[in-house]
Amino acid sequence: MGSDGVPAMQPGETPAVRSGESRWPEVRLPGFEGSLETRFQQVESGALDARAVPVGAAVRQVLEHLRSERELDLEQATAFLGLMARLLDTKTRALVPSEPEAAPPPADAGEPEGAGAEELVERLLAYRAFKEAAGLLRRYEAEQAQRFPSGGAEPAEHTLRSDDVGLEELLAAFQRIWERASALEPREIPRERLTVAKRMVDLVEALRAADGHLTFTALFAGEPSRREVVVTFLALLELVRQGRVRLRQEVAFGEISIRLEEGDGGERR
Amino acid sequence: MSGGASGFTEAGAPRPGQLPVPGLPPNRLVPLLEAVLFAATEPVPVRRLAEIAGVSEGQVEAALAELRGRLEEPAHGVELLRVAGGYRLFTKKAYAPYIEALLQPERTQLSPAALETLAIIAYKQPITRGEIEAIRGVQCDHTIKTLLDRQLIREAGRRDGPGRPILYATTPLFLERFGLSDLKELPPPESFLARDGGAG
Repeated sequence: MGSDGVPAMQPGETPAVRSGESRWPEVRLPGFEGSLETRFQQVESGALDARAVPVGAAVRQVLEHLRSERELDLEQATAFLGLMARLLDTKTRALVPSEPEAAPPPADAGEPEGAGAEELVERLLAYRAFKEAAGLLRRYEAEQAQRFPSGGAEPAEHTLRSDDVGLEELLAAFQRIWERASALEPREIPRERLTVAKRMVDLVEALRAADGHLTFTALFAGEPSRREVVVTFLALLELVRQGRVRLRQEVAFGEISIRLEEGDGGERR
Repeated sequence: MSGGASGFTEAGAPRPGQLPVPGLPPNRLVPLLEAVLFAATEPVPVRRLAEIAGVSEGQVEAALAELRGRLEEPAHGVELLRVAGGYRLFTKKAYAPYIEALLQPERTQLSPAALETLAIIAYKQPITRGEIEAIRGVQCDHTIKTLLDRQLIREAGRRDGPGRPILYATTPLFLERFGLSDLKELPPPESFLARDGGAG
């Protein structure tokens, strides 16, 4: 009550949000140093002639960078791939002498000459506009992320809703079951009609019968076929995704326990 | 904030069964709206607030303006914002680190690809996946699924034509997450193209 203002707080410190900085590796090319994205933007805007960009050298440097990362950032890698493809496409078009009426114009004829190039420029411009719009959204998002709404709870996001079981732990557990299933002797298998949907119902029923609690290995008791193992695992993942069960692992590499979450979802069968 | 003004005492407070109260004094309307918005779990439109309080939308607007002004003062830790076509209370930005310490939210940032896709949908909605892919030049099924899962976009019917492709549009949650009250608050697309002039 006494002191006014706010207790010590570092201004501008917002740990949850990173500014939307470019995640592009720096490249060194003849006459150019900096983010590849910057260079691409110059090409897009026409400030730089695509023919002057040594695409090969750029690709090699970025690939090197990607390899040197401890963990492959798939998002970054795909974005890079897309960018390089577009750059290559633009450069190829710039290099190839434009043949008048090379390809028969699609559908409606009578398009003016160089319509292809114009269309490309237009598309790149549109793309760049949306890229900028995306940057703007990033700023809006970062700003709004610092305000927490009344009533707290946000609508459930479909993340893995599990207390401390990550995907890796889950996969490790699956691996163990899988190996067991693979080790079984070949045998006559009756034709089975097994679906994920049906197995989800089975799992929920089994959980209910067991007071809402089962261990991961218990799901695979008996001698399940590979197909059964896969279907059961997928069913479990789907239940987790829907927030109908929760996973917990007390110790690393320990047993994963599955708990039925009922009453909040309102889903009944 | 002075209590009990103009003879409207606690004893005279309306019991729930009596709501809405026709002659609710304006000095009660502000705290009433504050209480309702405090308890709300999503933005509440003015029309709804007017129904709840049994007053006109104009009265609600005026009371909200007053509430908003009061909350702006440094003595308050929350603020009133207009998002997604309604009003909702938010903690002030300055206190974000403390709320985070309490809630430890795991807010996963949208990837650049997802943001691009979202931007395209926001501006061109309703739009099909094919049209998005034509702009981005890459497949978008994964990012669209991510955005659907996060409830930032929704399916908005189908386009007539071959294959009747699904149309996508943004959701109210999108507006709220990005602090927008309305899609019209997005800057016009021309503002992104205006630079460098010339081409096109």
